[in-house]
Amino acid sequence: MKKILPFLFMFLSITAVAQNKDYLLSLDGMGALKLGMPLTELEKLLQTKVALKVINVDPVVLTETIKAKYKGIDVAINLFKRQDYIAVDGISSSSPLCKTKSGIGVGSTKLQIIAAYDGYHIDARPVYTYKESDAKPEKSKTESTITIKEDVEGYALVFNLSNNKVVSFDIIPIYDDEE
Amino acid sequence: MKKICFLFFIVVAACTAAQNKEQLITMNGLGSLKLGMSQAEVEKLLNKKIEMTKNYLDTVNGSYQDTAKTTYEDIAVQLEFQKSFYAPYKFRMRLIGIRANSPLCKTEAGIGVGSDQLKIVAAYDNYHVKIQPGYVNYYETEKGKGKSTLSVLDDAASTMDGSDAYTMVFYLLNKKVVSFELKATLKDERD
Repeated sequence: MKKILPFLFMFLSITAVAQNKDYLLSLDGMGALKLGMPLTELEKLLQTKVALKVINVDPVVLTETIKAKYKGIDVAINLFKRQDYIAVDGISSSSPLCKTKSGIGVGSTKLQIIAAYDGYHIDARPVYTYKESDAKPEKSKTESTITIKEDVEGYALVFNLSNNKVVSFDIIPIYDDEE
Repeated sequence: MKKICFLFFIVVAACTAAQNKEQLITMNGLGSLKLGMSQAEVEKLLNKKIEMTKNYLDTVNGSYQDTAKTTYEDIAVQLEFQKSFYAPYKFRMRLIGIRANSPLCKTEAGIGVGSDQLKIVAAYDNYHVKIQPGYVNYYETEKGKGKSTLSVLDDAASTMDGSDAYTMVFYLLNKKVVSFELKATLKDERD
């Protein structure tokens, strides 16, 4: 029995590390799920065939969001139809299993995020709601977002906060003219 | 003699207090110096003529901005003016920027030279805050180890809703404020 316990402990530790890597958040993706990944690779990773309802059906629309399970957690994946293939263009989730290298994830505070991303481009803003076209936007007192980028343009990790605590996140490409 | 000494002490103390007067940093100005003031209003407040700096943005050369270095309440400031038309072919210069690095300038929450980055973020909790590496100045960024720029935007600056917009910019070295700039984007006076 004593011999089995260390092996069991080792097995559990390895499994935990592997799981952490699967859910590791970075600016370009989550674990093996990466921005820019072709749909064929995504299907291989998810071990399922993605049924497209918009892309390849409506010739004008080039984007589509699908809901999927990745390593047991719920994710929303944005797809974008490029010239010759369809690729991952956004990843969203609210799973508490997903964390950055420095441990930022669901439940982390605004100040923890800002302290963790020293040297990055950080944009922390309240959520504004545009109700009427001519009225001034209304600022939320509780909802806000923090966007982390390495440069002015590029892949970004966007944390969605409620009362200054992370409730979900998005990994998306951001270009200067979209800000 | 004792009475004279006492009076002299009071005068000196009053003068010192006046010289070291703290100036309040707000989104739209420093003390009584408010963004949007005309050059004439600023000159009246400072009680002196403002000499514009000759630079590549100089109005004399047909461009639209000018800067001036002067003092306000014994604090060295760099003022930025912009040409603002109020009638056809008629314009005045309006104050759109105030830059200083005096420790006498502080916000209501006590933010000023020496303040920590996280203290600013906490003080402006429900504002739009941007942190960028290097010292961001218009379209140029002065890079360097430990240099960063923290901007606090008001609602108009954040949403660009067309009204007068104000931004408070703190320049930091190793996450501590070393100087600041108050900036305004003013709507057209003819609108």
